[in-house]
Amino acid sequence: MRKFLLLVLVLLMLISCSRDGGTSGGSAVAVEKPSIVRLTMPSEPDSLDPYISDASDTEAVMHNVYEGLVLFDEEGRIVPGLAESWQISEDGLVYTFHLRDDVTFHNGDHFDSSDAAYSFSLLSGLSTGTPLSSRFGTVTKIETPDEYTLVLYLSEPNAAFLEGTRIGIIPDGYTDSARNPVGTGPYKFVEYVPSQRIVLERNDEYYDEERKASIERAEFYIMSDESAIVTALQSGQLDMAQVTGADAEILSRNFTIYSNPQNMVCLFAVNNAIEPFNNIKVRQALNYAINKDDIINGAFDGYATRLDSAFSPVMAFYYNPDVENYYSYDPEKAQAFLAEAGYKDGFSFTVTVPSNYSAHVSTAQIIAEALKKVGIDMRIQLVEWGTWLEDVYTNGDYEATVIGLTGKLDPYEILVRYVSNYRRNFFHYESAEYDDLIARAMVESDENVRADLYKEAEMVLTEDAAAVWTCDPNLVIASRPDLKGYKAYPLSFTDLSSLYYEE
Amino acid sequence: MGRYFKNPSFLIGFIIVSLMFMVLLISFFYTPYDVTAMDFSMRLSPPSHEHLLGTDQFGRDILSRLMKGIEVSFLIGITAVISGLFFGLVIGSLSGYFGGHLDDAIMKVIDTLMAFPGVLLAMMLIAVFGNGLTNTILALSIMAIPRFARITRSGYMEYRDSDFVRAERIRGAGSVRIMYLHILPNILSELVATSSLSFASAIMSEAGLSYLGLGMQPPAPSLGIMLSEAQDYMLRSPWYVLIPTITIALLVIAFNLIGDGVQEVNGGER
Repeated sequence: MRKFLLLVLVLLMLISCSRDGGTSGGSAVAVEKPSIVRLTMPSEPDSLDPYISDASDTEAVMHNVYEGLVLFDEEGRIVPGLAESWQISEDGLVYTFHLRDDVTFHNGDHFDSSDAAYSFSLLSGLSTGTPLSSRFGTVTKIETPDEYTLVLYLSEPNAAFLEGTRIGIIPDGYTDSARNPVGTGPYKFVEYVPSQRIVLERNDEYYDEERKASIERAEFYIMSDESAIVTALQSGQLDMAQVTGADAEILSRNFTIYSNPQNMVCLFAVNNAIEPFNNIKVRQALNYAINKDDIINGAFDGYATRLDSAFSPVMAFYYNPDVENYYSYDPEKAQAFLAEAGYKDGFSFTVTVPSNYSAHVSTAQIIAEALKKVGIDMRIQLVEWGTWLEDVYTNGDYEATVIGLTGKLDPYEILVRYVSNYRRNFFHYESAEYDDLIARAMVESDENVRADLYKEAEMVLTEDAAAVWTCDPNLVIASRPDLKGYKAYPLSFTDLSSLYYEE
Repeated sequence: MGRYFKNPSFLIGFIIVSLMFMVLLISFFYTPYDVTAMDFSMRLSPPSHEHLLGTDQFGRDILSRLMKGIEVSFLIGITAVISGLFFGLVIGSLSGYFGGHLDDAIMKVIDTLMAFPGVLLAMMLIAVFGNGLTNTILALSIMAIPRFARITRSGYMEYRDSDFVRAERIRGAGSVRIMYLHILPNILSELVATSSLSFASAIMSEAGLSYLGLGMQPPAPSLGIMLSEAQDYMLRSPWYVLIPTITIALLVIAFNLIGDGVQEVNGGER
């Protein structure tokens, strides 16, 4: 009999749980113009040292503390940062930066060219022997002709180099960045409590009046559980957080929702080197057979931006709008293309999907259902993230996969993935025409010509149907309604300086 | 058999299992919709006449998926119990009846297997053999063996020197005859109880593994997969996550109740 009572109790608990989930809520009670903003970061910072850190979640927070020679704006354009202006030599080998003279580090040191030279000597490995990142490995000489001028000499031209100089500058001789970060940004680092939070404080000595922060203190709580975040928002423990599309619908009653593409490329990739995907007709058939709107609705709850090439429209300057709807959903055409390719009766294959990304698993299910309609049998295999990285990304040993490629600020970094001899070209896509376009863009110093080359390259990818690009999932932010000034960037960056509370 | 139905635990468990079993039988011939058919205009709709239990994020009918999901749960439970029972009985009876070095050796292996938490062991096997229905069944079947072997062994140890066994031995009966004709009936009710509990834990493990993406592969309907897909919509569409949750809970509780009932009726508080 006791067992029976227990059963009743369990059922009652289940029912009461559902009640709680459904109706609890209520907006955060607004205190008189608060001077603190509480946000989330989804994962533990990998390192606070800007030259060691590689995680975009860390970058999103620490961009408020560190500043580079250049910064970027909401459209992904490079704008002056610690360098007021710069010149690039004709051959693309000499970069001259003219630095600001009114900048002070958080520790009180005055910023000048020796700090910039120190930072780049670490990055390029000129003082340590090994470059910290391969993109700085081409720096052969650093010169400081005067207190506010920095000259970098490269061994080979690289049009993407300037974008790289957005990496944070640290004070000359400073070695404690990992524990006590010191930068020049609008916010100062206060503390990092492992697995709990990172706290930042307004930099009152900030040099740029326009970017000077309004809110005194910012706390980033390390939280990844979606329902915990929603509960924390609803109970007023958080002021702003990234949420899922499904939760945004509920939160929209009491919160302001911002939804913006985040420069990520989600795609259904097939191994271009193996049968039957080495046949362009088959790849084009796949593009016709899949309804991208279904994926945006079913896997991303409508919070995504359609893609038709390997490039997100957020990077407007480099984006080729001609690719849009190059393949529109048309299962009959898909079947015709399959028949033309000699696969009238379809074929079967396995798609390898990382199990930790539910949106990708959903996408795979939608694609499987769509392909079934044109006679293709796609089996889904879920694998651990580590296995995916090894088998698919590193070894390129797979038939098909669904994945999202994270955004980069320079188009080269995004498009190089499809170059034949690129180490991580797991698509096994090979096109001499494409390789040539990317190689030319790499050394082209005229921004407009360079953009045209990239646009042409995007078109080549679409025409060749190198993959089925699906969408750029939007970054969905819920913010308490009186917190204003949110800015979306095509790169992971939670810009605190523009936030303010409305009276 | 009648005395079992007088036991409330057994009765409640039996009724729930019978109802689920009926759903399963129906699902062989009929489900309201195709379990993988998507309809995006109907996504996440609450229970209605058209979709009795509502639809999921792809507009798939939850009732149809639940019916097929129960089928998968039973399939896995039955195979795990049958193989666990068979191998457990053979291993346990040899070990318990003959004792000595054979017993030592077998029990070392069984103890090692039991040292791992069940799901961890299944995860290990799946990591070796790969995921999917067949391998999930294989892993859960192997996982079920130690428990049966243990119970069988202790039963045989208890009875191997009892008077009726001695009498049979003097009469000249062979070991196999004694083991399976004379001792086995005495421990039958315990094996039935263990089967029921194993059934419940196999269902739980399958749901757990599928939830983690290690068991059944989508779009196959499995209670664990339904649960993991539903959790993203816990706040928006609470019924969606409750349906697989309640089903799993009911199945597990029902089989546990049956197991408890059988033990209570036989007075065995072992």
